[in-house]
Amino acid sequence: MNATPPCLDANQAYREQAQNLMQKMGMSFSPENRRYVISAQIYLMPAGLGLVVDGSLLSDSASRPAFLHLFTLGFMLFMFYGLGAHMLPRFTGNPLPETRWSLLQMGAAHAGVAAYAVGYFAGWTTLALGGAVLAWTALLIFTLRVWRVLWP
Amino acid sequence: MRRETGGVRGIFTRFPSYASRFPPHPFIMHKRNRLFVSIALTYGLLGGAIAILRLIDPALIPGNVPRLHGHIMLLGFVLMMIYGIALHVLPRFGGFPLYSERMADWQLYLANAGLPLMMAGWLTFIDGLVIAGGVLSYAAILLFGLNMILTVRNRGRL
Repeated sequence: MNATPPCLDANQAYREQAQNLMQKMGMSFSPENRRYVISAQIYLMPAGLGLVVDGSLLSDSASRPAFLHLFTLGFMLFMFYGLGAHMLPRFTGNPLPETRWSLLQMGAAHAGVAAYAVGYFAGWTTLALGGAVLAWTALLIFTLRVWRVLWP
Repeated sequence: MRRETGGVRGIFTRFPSYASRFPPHPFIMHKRNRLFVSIALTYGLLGGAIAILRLIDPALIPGNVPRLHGHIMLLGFVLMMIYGIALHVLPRFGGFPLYSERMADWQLYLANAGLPLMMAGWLTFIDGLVIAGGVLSYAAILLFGLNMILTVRNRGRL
């Protein structure tokens, strides 16, 4: 027996239709940009723990770089990636293709933030350095991708 | 593709002072705002590279490097990205054109004069440079804030 009333089914169908239409019109997020925005919120949660553990994001404790960079590299930069890749092509009228470079950027960004945070929590400076290089590489790829959109 | 050079728009290349008064198209991002975003990305890469070099060897770069890194990322990357996006988006969301294109142009000049001065001050431990750069950066912040307030306070009859 189907427990969902027919009117709710109809609403769901209309909602999906509207979402598909928005996706076709280019108003809603692409799957990749959606992932960036969701990831940003996920990084924000452990970053906020710094307020509980250290009392501040700018405390003098040894874990400060980890919490601070979970906030800046994890939350802020991922929001820039997701919103920037969504908005800048619409503001300029130039497309931003999602290629293997965008996948590489996503992978490097995630690996970079994770390695940096774990490196500082565990006291492994080399791991933190590797994470920083990966995060910087992700920003470089994003810059090169967006540069073509800004200056075609 | 719409370009700002050539054709009727070529007048902007011959008389650049008119370019800010008559942006190329109301829906296309102004060149100044694209410059803000591009400069923000460049500062982001620079600030990141400085932090990486410091992680490799703390003595590699002289001066107050943590402060240098922090301010390049905050004033250079985050704030200039917000300048570029907000100068494009807020007038459109507000429903009225930007109050002053000239103020926004000067904001670009001041912000990009101030931060390099501050950077030079931290690298060389010369406080005067840091203060002078801070004053210029603050002037840019004031211009932006004022321009945005005067743009967004406009309302229709509803």
